[in-house]
Amino acid sequence: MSVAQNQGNRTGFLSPGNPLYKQWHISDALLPISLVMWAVGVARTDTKVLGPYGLLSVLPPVFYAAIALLIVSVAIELTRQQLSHWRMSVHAAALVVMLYATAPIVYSQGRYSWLYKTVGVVQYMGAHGSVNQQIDIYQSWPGFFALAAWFDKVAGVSSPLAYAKWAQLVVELAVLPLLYLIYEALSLPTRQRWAALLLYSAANWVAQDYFSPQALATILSLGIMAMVMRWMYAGNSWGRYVSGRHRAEDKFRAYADKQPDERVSHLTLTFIALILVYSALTYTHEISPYIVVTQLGVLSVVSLFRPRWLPFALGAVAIIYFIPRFPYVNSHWGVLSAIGTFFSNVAPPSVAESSTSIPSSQLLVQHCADGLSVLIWVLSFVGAWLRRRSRRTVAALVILAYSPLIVLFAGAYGDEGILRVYLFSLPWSVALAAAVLTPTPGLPIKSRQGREGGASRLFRRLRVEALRAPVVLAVVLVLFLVAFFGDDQWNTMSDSEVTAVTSFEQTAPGGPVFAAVGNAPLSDTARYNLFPVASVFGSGSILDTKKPQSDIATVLADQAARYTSGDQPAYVIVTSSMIAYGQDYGTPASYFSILLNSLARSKYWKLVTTNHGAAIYELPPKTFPEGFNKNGPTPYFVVP
Amino acid sequence: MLDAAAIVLSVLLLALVFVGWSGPLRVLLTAAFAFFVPGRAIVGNWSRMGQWSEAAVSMVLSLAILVLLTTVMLWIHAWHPLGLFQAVAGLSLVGLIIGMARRRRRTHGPEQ
Repeated sequence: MSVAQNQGNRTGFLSPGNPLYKQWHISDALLPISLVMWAVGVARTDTKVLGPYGLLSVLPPVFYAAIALLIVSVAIELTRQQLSHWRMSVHAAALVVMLYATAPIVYSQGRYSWLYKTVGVVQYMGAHGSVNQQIDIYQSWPGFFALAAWFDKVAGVSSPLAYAKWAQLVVELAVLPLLYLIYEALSLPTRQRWAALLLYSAANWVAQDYFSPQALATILSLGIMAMVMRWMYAGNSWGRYVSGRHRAEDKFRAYADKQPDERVSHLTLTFIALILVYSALTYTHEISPYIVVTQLGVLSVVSLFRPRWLPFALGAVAIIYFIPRFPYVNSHWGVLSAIGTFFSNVAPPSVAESSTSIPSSQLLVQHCADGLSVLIWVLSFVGAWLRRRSRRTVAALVILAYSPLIVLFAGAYGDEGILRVYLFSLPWSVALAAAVLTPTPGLPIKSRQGREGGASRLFRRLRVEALRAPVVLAVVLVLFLVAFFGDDQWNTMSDSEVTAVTSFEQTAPGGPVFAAVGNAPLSDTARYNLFPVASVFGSGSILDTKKPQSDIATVLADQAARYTSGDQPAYVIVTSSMIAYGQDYGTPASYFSILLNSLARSKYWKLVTTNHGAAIYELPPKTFPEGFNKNGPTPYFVVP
Repeated sequence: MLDAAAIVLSVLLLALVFVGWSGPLRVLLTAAFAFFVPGRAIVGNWSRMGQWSEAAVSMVLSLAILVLLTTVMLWIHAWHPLGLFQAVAGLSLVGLIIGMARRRRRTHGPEQ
C-alpha cells in the first residue's frame, strides 16, 4: 500500500486532498524569504574588525535567522507526504549558497594562507609550461595546477586570485548531483537522500574544498564512486534483499552484453571511463587515489562490488605513478617512518598545535570542529543500527564510511590524515546519519496482515519525528558555523597585505624570507620557488616559543648572511594575518612589536615596503653584521 | 537542450577567445566549458550513461579529460593552452552534433 492511499480521509487546507496543498508549499514562501534575509545579512556584514570568533561575531542576527528559517523550511518539506525533487534541490543549493558564498562576498580576498601557495604553483606552471619536481611536492602531482593554468589562459585572467575565493561554492555545488547519483544507486529512500545531501553541506567543516588539488580530487573521487555504485555495486535495492552475488552477475550480464546499436559493451566503456577519471585523480592528488582504491578494495573483499580485479587495476595506476616520486616524498615527508604508527597518525592538527597556550575562543573553535566530526560519526553508527535490516546497503555504507581509516596505517599526511579520512568518510557517514533525521521505511517482509499498513505507520512516524531533522540539522550547523568561520581573524587576508606581498614577490630579487609566522599570503606568484621561507616565531621555528630580544634583527641578519653567503638578499615579512594567527597560537603581539622595532632600528635591514597590512625588510647582498660568524646556526628555509 | 546549450557555450567562448575579450563573462563561460562541454560530447554519444546522468557524469568526464590533456602538455613541454582549448572545443562540437543527430535518428527512425 502506498503512502498516498492512506491519506485520502484527511480534510482541510493542509490536507493532501486539497488541490491547493498539492500546488503550494509553505517552503515556496519560506525559502525565498530566507534567501532575502541572508542577502540582507551579508550586505550588512562589516569585516573591517573581526573578533576572537572570526566572522561569527560580525555577522548580523538576520544572517542567523535566515539559516534558521531555511532549516524550518527544509523540515517542513521533508515531512511532506511526497517530496518535491525540485524544491528539495533548491533547498540543498540554497544551503550551500548560504554557507559557502558568504565568505567570498564579505571578504575581498580568498581565505586561508595556504590558498596563496596553490595560486603560486598555478602561476609557475602557466609561466614555465613545465614542471620542476625538485621544487616541492605539488610539482609531482600537477593535475589540478595544469588545469587551473589552462583555465587562466582561456578565461583571460592574469592570476587565479581573480576567482579562487569562489572555489568552495563551486565545489560544494558540484558535488551535490554526484552525491545524489550515489545515493540513488544505493537505493536510499528519497527522503534520506535529501537529508544526507543537506547534512553533507552542513558538516563539511574541514575546508578542503578551497582552490586546491583536494577539491578537484573530491569531485573526481565522487564521480568514480557514482559510476561504480551505479554499474558495479552488488548490493540490494532498499528493502528488497536479494543475493548480492546473483544480482551482481545479472547486472554484469546485462551490462557486458552489447546492445544491437552498440559497437562496444556498456561495461567496457565504463571501465575505460573509470580508468580515465582515476588516472586524472592520480595525477591530481597524493592520497585520494589510495583512499578510493581502499574503499573499493574492501567492498570487493566482501563481494559487494564486481569485478574484483578493478581495485587492483586502479591501484596499479596509482602505484606505478608513485614509484618514481617515492624518493622525494620519503625524504621530505618520511613515508616509511610513518608506516604502522596508526595512533600518532590519527591525531588531528589541533593536537600538534596544542603545545602552545591557546585562548579559550580558539579552543572552542577546535572543540566545535572535533565535536562535529564525532557527532557525524556517532549519528552514522546510530543510523547504521536503525538500518541494520537493509543488510548489504548498510554494510556497503559502513565499509565506505570507515575504510578510509585504513590509510592512516600508512602515514599521517603531514598531520592532516584524519582530516582527509573525515572528508572521504563524510558522503557515506551522512548517508547513514540521514536515517536518524528521517524515518526508515519498514521492509515489506515485516508487514503483517490485518494490522495497520506499513505506509500509514510511516506517515504517523513522519509527523512524530518531524523534529528530528531540524534539531539535528540545527546542531550540526551551529558546530559548522563555529568551525568554519571561527578562525577567520587569521584565515582572512587584507587587500593591502596581499597587494604588498604579491608585488614584492613579482619584482624583488630572489632570496630567503624570514616570515614572522607562516600564516600569510606568501608564494602566490610564478616566482614562488625563489623565496624559500623560515618562520621566526612559533613551535619549531628559529626562536621556537622564546621571547625575542631587542637585537633580534641582528640575529636574523647573522643567520641570513650565513645562509646566503652574501650572494643574495634576504627578507623579513610581517603581516597583519601573521599577528592575528600569533595571538591564537601562543605568539603575543608584543613579540611582533619587538621584531618590527628591532628591524626599524637596524643598520643592516632596509625597509622595502610598508602599508596597513604588511612590512617587508631587505638585507642587501654582501651585508655581514659586525662579529659575523660563518659557523653559527643556519636556519632551514623551505619552499612552503 | 543540454547539447544545444553546450554548442552555444562553446561557440561563444571560441568567439570571445578569438577577439581577445576579457571579463567576468569569459571567466564564467570558461568555467561552464571546463565543467561540462567535453564530457557532454562523450555522454551525448553514450546512450546508457546519458539516460542515467546527463550532467553530473559529463562534469566528471570533462574535468578528467582536461586534467589529463593539460598535464601531458606540461610533461612533454608543449604548453599551448589556447591551442588545446580550440582543439577540445572543435572536437566537442563535432561530438555534440553527432550525438544530437544520432538521438534524432533514434527518435524519429530511419527516413522512408
